[in-house]
Amino acid sequence: MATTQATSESLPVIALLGNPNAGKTSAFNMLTGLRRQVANYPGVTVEKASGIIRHNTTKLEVLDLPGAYSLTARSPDEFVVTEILLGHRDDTKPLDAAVVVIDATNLERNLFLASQVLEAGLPTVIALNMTDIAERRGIQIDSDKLADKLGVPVIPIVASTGKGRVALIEAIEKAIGGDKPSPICDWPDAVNQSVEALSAEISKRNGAIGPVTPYELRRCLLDANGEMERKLLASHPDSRALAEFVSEQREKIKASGHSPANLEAEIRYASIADIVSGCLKRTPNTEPTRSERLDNLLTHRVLGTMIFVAVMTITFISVFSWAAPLMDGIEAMFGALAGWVHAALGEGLLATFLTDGVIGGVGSVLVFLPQIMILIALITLLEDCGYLARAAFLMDRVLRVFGLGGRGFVPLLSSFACAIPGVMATRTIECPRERLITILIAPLMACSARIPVYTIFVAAFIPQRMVLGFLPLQGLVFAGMYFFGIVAAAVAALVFRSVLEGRAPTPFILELPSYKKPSIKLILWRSLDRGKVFIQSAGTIILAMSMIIWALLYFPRPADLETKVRGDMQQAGITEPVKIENAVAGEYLRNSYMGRVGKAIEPAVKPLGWDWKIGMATLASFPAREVVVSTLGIIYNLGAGADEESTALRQKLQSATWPDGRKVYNIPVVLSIMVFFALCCQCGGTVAVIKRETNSWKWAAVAFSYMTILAYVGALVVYQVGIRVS
Amino acid sequence: MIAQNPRTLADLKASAKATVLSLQGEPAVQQRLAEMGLTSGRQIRMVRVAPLGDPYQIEVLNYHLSLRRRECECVLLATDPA
Ligand SMILES: Nc1nc2c(ncn2[C@@H]2O[C@H](COP(=O)(O)OP(=O)(O)OP(=O)(O)O)[C@@H](O)[C@H]2O)c(=O)[nH]1
Repeated sequence: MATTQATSESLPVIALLGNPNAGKTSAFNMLTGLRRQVANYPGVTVEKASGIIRHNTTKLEVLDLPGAYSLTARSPDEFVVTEILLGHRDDTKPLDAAVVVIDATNLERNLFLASQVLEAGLPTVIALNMTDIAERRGIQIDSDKLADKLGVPVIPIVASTGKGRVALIEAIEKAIGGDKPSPICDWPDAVNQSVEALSAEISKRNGAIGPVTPYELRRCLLDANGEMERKLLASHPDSRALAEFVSEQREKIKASGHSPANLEAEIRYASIADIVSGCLKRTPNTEPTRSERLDNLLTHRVLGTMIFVAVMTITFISVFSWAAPLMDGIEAMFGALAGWVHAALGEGLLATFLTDGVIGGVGSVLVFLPQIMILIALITLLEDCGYLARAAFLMDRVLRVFGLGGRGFVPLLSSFACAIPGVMATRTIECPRERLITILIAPLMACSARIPVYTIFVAAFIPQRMVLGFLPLQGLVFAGMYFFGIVAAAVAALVFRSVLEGRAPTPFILELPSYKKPSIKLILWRSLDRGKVFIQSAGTIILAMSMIIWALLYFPRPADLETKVRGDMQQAGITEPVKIENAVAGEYLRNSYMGRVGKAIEPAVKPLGWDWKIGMATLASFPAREVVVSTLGIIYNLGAGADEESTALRQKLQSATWPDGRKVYNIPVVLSIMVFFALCCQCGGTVAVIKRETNSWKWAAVAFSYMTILAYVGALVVYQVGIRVS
Repeated sequence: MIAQNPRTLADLKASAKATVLSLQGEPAVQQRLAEMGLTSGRQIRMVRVAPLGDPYQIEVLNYHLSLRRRECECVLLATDPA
C-alpha cells in the first residue's frame, strides 16, 4: 500500500463523474479491478475513493467523485466535485482528464452534467454506459456521431461486464495532455456581458482571489444561493459590495428577458436536443413499459402497501435469523481463543489482559460485522433492483411529519437491527438537514444489542401473566420498549427539526429508476466495502474503549484481597472451586477503580432507584450496551459467562438487597433501567460511525450527549413517578 | 372554459400529459427542477400520486421522477389547445 501511495505522486490523475445510477461505481471497478481506497474529504461528508488503472504500460490514478445531476452546488458537499474539477482543492492533485459516465438509456438528462463538465477546461472522455440495456430497449445511439457533435471521444461500454474497458483506457490516455473541449452551447450576450463585468469588478478590487475563469463567474451569477458565490464573496476584501454587484448583474440578466435560475437548463437542454436529434433513435413504445406495470402493483394503494410491509418484514427477519448464528459463531470462536490463550499462559496479568482486554475487545468489534454486512447487502439489493426508491416514494408523506423524508425509512428500519449500518445507509438522503436528523435519531431505535438487556429484566421482574386474558404481560412490556424507542425518536426528530430550522431544506427530487435485475457482484462488493469502513472507523475506537474499561475493572489487585475472600469462604464452609473463583472475581471487581467510581456516583444514580452496582455496570457498558449483562454476572459472583438466559443471574437480581435489607429491584427500578438503556447512546461503534458519516466530532458529541441526558432524565422521571404510583 | 389560475403540475390528473410553461417559486428550487429536465416547452406526464396523496410520480425526458406537491406547484403548465 505504501508503494502505491509513493508512486501515485507522479501518476496522471483522472476523475469519474456521472449522474447517480449511471454506473459510475461499476465503471470505477471495471477500470481499477475492485481495489480502492476510501477516506473522507476533510470538512465535508463526501467519501474520497481512489484507485489505480493498470493496462499494459499505462498506469493512472482515478478518483471516483460523488454522483450528481449537475455541477450546481449549494452545499460544501456538492461543491467538492466542482472544486476537484477546477483543481482548487489542496488535498487533491489537479486533474489531467475527466471521464463522464453517462447512461445510454437516459441520454438527454445525462448529457446535462456532461455539457457542464465540458466547460471546466479539462480534456474529457465520455463513457457511454448501459449500452446493453439501451439496445434491448430499442434505443440506438450513434456514438461516433455523438462524439463528433460533442467534440470529445464517446466510448460505448458495459461497465457491469467490462466490455469496452480497453477502448476506454486508450481513449483516456490519448486525451491526457490533449486539447480542452469547446463548450457545446452559446450564452446570451447579457450573460457574457455580466461575466465580463464581474471579472473586471473582481480584478479591480483584486484581493486574495487569483484569476477567476469565466466558468466560475457564470456559476456565481447563475446559481442563486450557490457555493461559488459564497466562495468568491468570502475571498473578496469587500464582500458586501461584491454581493451587491452580483445581484445587480442578475437583475440585468433578468431585464434582458432571461431568468437566471432557469437560463442554464434552457440553454443546455436546447443544445442537447439539437445534438441528440441526429444520433439517437428510440423505437416509440405506446404501451406501458414492464417497469411501469410493476409500479402499478408495487405502489398500489392497498397491494403496494401490503407488499411494502411484507418486503420490510422479510428483510428485517432475515437480518436477525442470518446474523444470529454468525454472531454466536464469532463469540464462540473468540471464547475458544481466549480459553486457549488462558490455558497456554495460565493466570496472571498478561493472560487476563490478552483474553479479556484484547481478544474480548476485538471480539466485540467483530461481533457487529454479520449484522452490518447482511444489512448493507440487503439494502443494496433493494436499492439496486429499484425498490428502495419506491419505498421512499411510499413512505415520504409519513416521515415528512417528523421533518424527515422517504429516503430515511430504510436507514431507520435498519437501526432496529443495528444503528451502525443504519447511519451508513443515510448516504442516499440528499437533503443535508434530513440526513442529519435521521442520523441523530437512528440510535434511539431498539437495536438488537438492547434485547439481552430487556430480556434479563423482563424475565426476572415482569410477572408471567396475561392481560385481558390473552396478551402476555412480558411480551407487552417488551413490545412497549420498542414502541417507546420509536416515540422517543419521533419526539427527538421534531425537536431537531425546529432547532435545525435555519438550514434551508433541499427540494425532494427522487429519481424512480426502471426496475432491473440486481447485480450480485455489486451487492457483495458494497457489503465488503462497508464492513471494511466499519472496521477502519469504529474498530480502533471500540477496541481502545474496551481495553480502558477492562483496565478500570481489573485494577487495582491487592493480593491480600484474594487471601481474605478465600479465608472467608473457608470459614463459611464453601469448597467448590468455581464458587470461590467467582467470589474472588466479584470482590476484585467491587474493589476496582470502576467499582470505586460506581460507589462514588451512587448519589447520582440513587434518584433513579439504582444502587452502585447498577450504576457501575451501566458505566462499564458505554462501549457496548450488551456488556451490562456479563458485568452484572461478575458483580453478583456468577462469573463473566452469565448471559440473559441465566436463571442464576435472575435469582441474584431478584434477591439483591440494599444494606438495610430492602430489595434493590422493584418494578419502578427495572423500568427506570430499561428506559435508560433504551435512550442512552451506549455504543462506541455508533459514535464512531456518526463521526465518520458527518465528518465531525461535533455531531457525534451531540448525539452522545443528547441521548445520555435524555436517558438520565427519562429514567429519573420513570422511577420517581413509578414509586409514587405503586 | 379557461381556468382562472394557471394550472400547475400539482393539478394534473394521473396519466394526463401536459407541457411545461414556466417555473415559479424560489430560484434554487426552480434551478433544480430545470436541471432535471423541467424546462419550458417540455412534454411531461403525470404517472401517479402516492397512496397517501403525496408525493407525485411524473415522467419527463423518458425517465421517472418523484416530486412533492410543493415542488409540483412550482411547475406552471401551458393550457393545452385540446
Ligand atoms: N446491464 C448493465 N448494468 C449496468 C451497467 N453498468 C452498471 N450497471 C448496473 O447498474 C447498477 C448501478 O451501478 P452503480 O455502478 O452502482 O452506479 P453508480 O453510478 O455508482 O450509482 P451511485 O452509487 O448511486 O452513484 C448496478 O446494478 C450495476 O451492476 C451496464 O453497462 N449494463
